Amino acid sequence: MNKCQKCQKARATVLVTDIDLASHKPQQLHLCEDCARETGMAAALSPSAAEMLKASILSVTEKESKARSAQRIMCEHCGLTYQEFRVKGRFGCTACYDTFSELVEPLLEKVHGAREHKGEAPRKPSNKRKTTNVAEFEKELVELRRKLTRAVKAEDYEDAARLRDRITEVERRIGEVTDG
Amino acid sequence: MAETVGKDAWLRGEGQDADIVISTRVRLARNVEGFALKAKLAGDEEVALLQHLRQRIGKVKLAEKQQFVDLKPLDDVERLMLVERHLISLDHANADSERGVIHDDQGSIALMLNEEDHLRLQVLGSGMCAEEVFDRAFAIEDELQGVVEFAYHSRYGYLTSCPTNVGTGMRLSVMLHLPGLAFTKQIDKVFNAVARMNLAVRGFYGEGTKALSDLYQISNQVTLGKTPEELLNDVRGVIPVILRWEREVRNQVMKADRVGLEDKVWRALGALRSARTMSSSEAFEQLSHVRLGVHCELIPDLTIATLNELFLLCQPGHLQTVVCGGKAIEPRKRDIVRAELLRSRLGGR
Repeated sequence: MNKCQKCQKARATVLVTDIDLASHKPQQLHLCEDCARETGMAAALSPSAAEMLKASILSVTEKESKARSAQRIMCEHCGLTYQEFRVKGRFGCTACYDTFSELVEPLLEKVHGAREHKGEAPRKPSNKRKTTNVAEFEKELVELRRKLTRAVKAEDYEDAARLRDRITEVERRIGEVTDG
Repeated sequence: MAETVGKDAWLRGEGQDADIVISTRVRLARNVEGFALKAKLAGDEEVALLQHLRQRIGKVKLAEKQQFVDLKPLDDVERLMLVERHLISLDHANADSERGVIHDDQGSIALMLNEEDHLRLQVLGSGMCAEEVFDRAFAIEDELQGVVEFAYHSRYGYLTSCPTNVGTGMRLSVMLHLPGLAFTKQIDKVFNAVARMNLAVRGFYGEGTKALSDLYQISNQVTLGKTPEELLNDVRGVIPVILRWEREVRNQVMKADRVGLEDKVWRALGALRSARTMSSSEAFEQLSHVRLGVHCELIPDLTIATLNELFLLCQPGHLQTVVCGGKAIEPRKRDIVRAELLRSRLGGR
């Protein structure tokens, strides 16, 4: 007769397979019913013990692999990985908040004791279309300025002049929309 | 730059509870929609963002006089001057990126551009003036919203580089001079009370810096989950308690050991009036004692404004700019120059 490995008294009737958190290796324990219940393995005592146990082990490994794959998530807008964020503590773009939302919310809870903003939203400009236009113009401006830098570097002055005119034009149009 | 030295409004030693509260400051962190955040902002985008913000903010009248300072071409001493005036952060000074600051001539308003966030808007005032700086900062922010679209998320609020600032992006800090509590070793009382209220105690130059000559900054720890007004009230609520403690301790010491206190403050003044070399940390410590002496009416003929000015002038950036004409000098020489300055300003020999 096998004695319970915990209390060393009663007969071991339950075989518990657990994952050791430190080494991530499965370990087997022969326990009596009471000790098994005490160690939180009560679920394993039900008729479908084996299945329950399997499920619980699976859920542990699933959680781990989920966490591991979350580390590899990359923001498709700016290329920041969660690993990078963990190191620097800074996001790369505003989309990162959505990309990593599942991982960020527990962090927000820890830091702020809250997950959601409370307070006024920014005042919305009266004409929605105008803002879309402005945002598009802004993006175009960034792209144009980047091209201009490249053109100047490459000493392609014809292209640079064309780009400069386009920048002036876009800036004028932004001015019109925002002033109007 | 030299003509405005020591003339910033927050140095006047005026305002409510100015015997303990040096200054009150509010800071709002904002980012511009359509641009990457600092960590992923490419060099040319940095240039574009800086231009964008300068151009847009240039349309808004922040104060009677306002100016843009490009930080990149400045030398270390000039940047240090701005840090000491609290117009830019240490990180902003030491960064390598395209960056700048727009500030008014009173040193009350500063808009750091391309800091950790695209825009860090700050309003600073003398004494306890939380409501005033709060209202002013949000009024400016409201004006800016007319010309710049800030990154905002319906769930997380104003988005910031670091999630510790997300939501309101607001940090309200009150700078306190607590020599009484420090002297009687009761400063832990303050730390405990502040921690219970979910507030933070920081050093003189903000996050991660040491407390300098009994100066402590109390500010809100969280930025998310509470409205700006609630955060304002949290900070405003704890300050009167600390002020009461500090005043009680000062009174107790005056009653129990007036000679001991007099000895301490006059010795400090003696050192400031006589020393031949003085490090900045010693100068701050002695000035802190003298300041306490002025408030306890133990030292006549000295004003808080003078002490505040000296406090500023003793810091390396100001010392090298004002006293040494902008020339960088080595620390040992600085200590000699600092001692000379203090002797001449405080009527020493």
